[in-house]
Amino acid sequence: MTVAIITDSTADLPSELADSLGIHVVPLNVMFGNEAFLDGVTIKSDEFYRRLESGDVFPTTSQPAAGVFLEKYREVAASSDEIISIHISEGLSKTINSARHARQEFGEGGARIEVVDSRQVGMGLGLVVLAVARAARDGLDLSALTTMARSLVDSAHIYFLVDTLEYLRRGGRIGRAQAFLGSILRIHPILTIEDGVVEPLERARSRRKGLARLRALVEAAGPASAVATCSAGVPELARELADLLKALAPGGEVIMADVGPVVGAHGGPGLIGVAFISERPA
Amino acid sequence: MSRAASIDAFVDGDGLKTLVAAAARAVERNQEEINALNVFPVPDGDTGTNMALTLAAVVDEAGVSREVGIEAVASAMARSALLGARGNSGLILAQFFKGIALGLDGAQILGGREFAIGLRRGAEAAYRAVESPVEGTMLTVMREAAEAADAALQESDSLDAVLAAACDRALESVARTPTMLEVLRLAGVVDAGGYGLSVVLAGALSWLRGDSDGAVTVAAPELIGVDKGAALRAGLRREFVDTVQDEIYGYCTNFVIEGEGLDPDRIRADAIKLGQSCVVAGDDRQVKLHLHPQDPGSILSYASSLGTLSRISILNMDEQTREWTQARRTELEDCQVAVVAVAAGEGLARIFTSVGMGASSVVPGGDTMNPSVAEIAAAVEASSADCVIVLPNNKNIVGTARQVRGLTSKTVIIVPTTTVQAGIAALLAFSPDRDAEVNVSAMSEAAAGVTAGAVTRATRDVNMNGRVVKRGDMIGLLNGSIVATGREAGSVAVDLLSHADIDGELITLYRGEEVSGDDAEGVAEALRALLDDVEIEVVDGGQPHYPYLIAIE
Repeated sequence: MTVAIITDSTADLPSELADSLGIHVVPLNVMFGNEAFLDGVTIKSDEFYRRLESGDVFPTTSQPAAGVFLEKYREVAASSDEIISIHISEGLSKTINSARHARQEFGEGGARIEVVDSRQVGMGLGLVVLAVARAARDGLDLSALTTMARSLVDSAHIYFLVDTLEYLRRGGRIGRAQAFLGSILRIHPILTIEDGVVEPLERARSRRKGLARLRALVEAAGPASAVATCSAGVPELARELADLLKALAPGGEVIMADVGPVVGAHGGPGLIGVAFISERPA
Repeated sequence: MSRAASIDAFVDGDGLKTLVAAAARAVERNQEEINALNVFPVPDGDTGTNMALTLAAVVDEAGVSREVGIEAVASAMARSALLGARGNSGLILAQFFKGIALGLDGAQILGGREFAIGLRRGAEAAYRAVESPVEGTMLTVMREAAEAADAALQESDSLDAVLAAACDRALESVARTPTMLEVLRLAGVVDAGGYGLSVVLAGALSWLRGDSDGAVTVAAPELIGVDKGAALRAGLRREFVDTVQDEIYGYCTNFVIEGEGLDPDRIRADAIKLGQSCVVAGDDRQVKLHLHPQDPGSILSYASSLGTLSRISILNMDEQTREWTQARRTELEDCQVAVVAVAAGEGLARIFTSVGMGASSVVPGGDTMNPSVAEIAAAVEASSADCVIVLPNNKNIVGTARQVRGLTSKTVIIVPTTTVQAGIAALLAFSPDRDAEVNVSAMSEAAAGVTAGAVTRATRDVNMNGRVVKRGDMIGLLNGSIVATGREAGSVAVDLLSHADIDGELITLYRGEEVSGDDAEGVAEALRALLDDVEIEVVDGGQPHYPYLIAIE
C-alpha cells in the first residue's frame, strides 16, 4: 500500500501537481479582521492580493487546529496504513505542533504516522513534498521516506526578493532581516530561509539585478534536482525568472508556483523567489 | 631495483650537487606553504624562506666549488650550510648537511648506507646544537626519518629505497607533530620545519627517480590528533592568532664567530642566559649562533670578545609577528567585519551609516578635504570589529587609506573605491555576517558595476572640443571626462545622461547641498521622459561642490 503524503497550505503547491500525486493539503487560516478564510480553499491568491492592496485591514494568519489534523489523519488512515506529514518550519509557524498533537491523539492504532519539520516554507517545502510523494508512488516505505525527507530538508533552499520588508516586520517573522530596514536608499532585499527562519542575504538595487542574483545563487549551489519559482501577484516577473532558470533546471523544467495567501501575508505582494533542491550534499 | 642501482652509481660528487639542487627546488616550490605553517618557536611565517635561503647558500657554494670527490663536496656543503644558515630551521638543516658529510667519511659515492648514517649523525648533531630540544619539531622528524632509513637498510642498501623510506616516515612524523607539541595542536597546524625537511627529502627522491628536477609540490600532511573541523581553512585557529598578538619575541639574531679554540658547547651555555631559541653549531674555528634575545647588544658584545663576527643578521620578530598575525587574521573566516567610509556631506554620511547595517562609520572628507591617515585610523580603532574594510571613495584618499594598516593592530582591508557612488554600491553589497573575504569580493564587484557621473563647476576657463567653458560654468563629467557643459546644473545633468550611452537600469541622483529637492525631482522627471525602462531615484546627498553625483547601475 502506498504511503500517504500530507502537507500544509504553506507549501504553495500548484493544485494540479498536488492532485496528480494524491498529496493531501491541510489549510492554515487567514483572517481579515473578523473574516476568516481557509488558505487556498475559501480564499485564493488573486482575491487575497486584491483585498490586500485595496483594503486597509491587515491580514493575520494562524496554524490549523490540532483537530483539523486529527480529522485529516483519520480520513487518510481509512485507506493508508502509513502516513508521512511534512510541514512548514517550526521557526515560522506552530503548524507542526498541531500536527504532532494530532498524531499523539491519533495513537498507535490504525496507521503509523511520521511528522517531519521541513525547516522550509513555500516551494522550499513544496519541492521536498513533491520528491517524497514521487518516491512514495514508486513504492518506498514509511521509514525510507522519512529518512529521505529528513535528508532533503538539508538540500532544499529558497531565495526570495521582497518589495518591502514591511509585511515580514508586521507579521513578526523578520528576524535578523531587520538589519535591512531603515536604509535611505531604495533596496530590494534578498532573503533566504536558513535553520528554519528568515535570514537576510543581500540587497539588490533593482528588481532586475535581484532576479539575476537569484539565478546566480542557484547556479552557485551546483546542480539542482528540482527548481521552482514562487511569485506573489507578479506573474510576468515569474516568467522572466523562470526563463533565467531554465538552463539550471533538470530537463529545463521550472515549476511555477503562486505564493498563497498565508505566505503572501508575510512576504507581501511582489515577492518573487526561487526554490530548489541541491544535488550537492549539504 | 636494477634501475635504482644504476642511478645510484651516479651519485658521486657531481651527483650530490645535483641532488641538493633538486632538494632546493622543492623547498622553493613549497616555500609559501611552509611559511604558512610556521608557529613555533616564533609565529613569524619565515621557516620556508629561511630553509630556502639556507639551501640556496649550499647550492651557490656547490656551483663555484671545484671539488669533485664526494667527501670534499659534502664537507664544503656542510660548511656553506652552516655559514649561510638562516633562522632556527636553517641552522638545524645545516646539521643535516654536517651529518651527510660525516656519513660520507671515506666513501666514493652516496649510497643507501651512507645516507642512513648521515641522516642519523645529522639528527644527533641537531639535537646537540639546540639548547633544549623540543619534540614535535624538525628534530623529531629528522630522528624518525633516520630510524626509518636504518630499518630500510635491512632490505636494501640502494639510495632510492633508503631515501624513500626516510621520506615516507618524515611525512608521517610531520602529521603526528601536533600530538607532541601543544602549540601546534592549539594552532591547528603541523610543524613547519619538519614539513620543510620532508620537502627536502621528497625533492631529492623525485630527482633520484627521474620523476622531476625536484620542483615538486609536496602537500603538507593532514594533521593527526587535531579536530579537523576546528582547524580553519587558513590552517590556523583564531584563538591562537589572538594569543600570539600579545607575545613579545624580541630579535632574531644570527651571526658567525671566527676565531681559535672556540668551544661551541661553552658558547651555547653562555648564550642561553641571554635569550630564547638558542642554536649553536660549529667547531673550534667557526661557530654559527642563532638566538632570540630581547636585547641583541648583549649577545653581540659577548660574542665579539671571543673572535671576529661576520654575517650578522638581526630581525625584529615582534614586527614580523605582527605582520604575520595581520596576514593570518585576514584569512580567518570568523572575522567580525565593519566598514569605515570616507564621505563629505550630511546626507551622504547618513546614507553610509544607514546602509552599513550598524557596522559602518563615516570619516568626513572628500575632494578638497582629504582626511589624514590618523583620522581614518581612529575610525578603524573605534569600530567594534577586529577586521575593518575601508572605502576611501576618492582616488586621492586610496593611498592614505592604505597607510592605516601600519597604525593599528586590527586587520584593515581597502576596497579602493574612487567615487562616493561606487562606495555606496560597495556598501550595499556588504553584510556583517559574512567573512571579510566574501565581503571584499562582493563589494569590489558591486563597486565595479557602477558608472559614476558628476555635475560640478569649472574652476578655470577651458576650451573643450571647440566649446569654451568659462570659469563658474557647470560641467558634466562621466568617468572623469567632460561630456556636457552649461549654465545650470539640472540641465547639465540631463544633458550628461542623455549623451551617455546608458547601459544601466537604475540611475541614482545624489543631490548636493545647493540643490533643492524640487529641482532634483524636476531633473528626475525629465530623465524619466527621456529614458524608458530606467529607474530614477533621487537621494539627498548634501555633498559640497557637486550639485549632482550620479550613479548609473
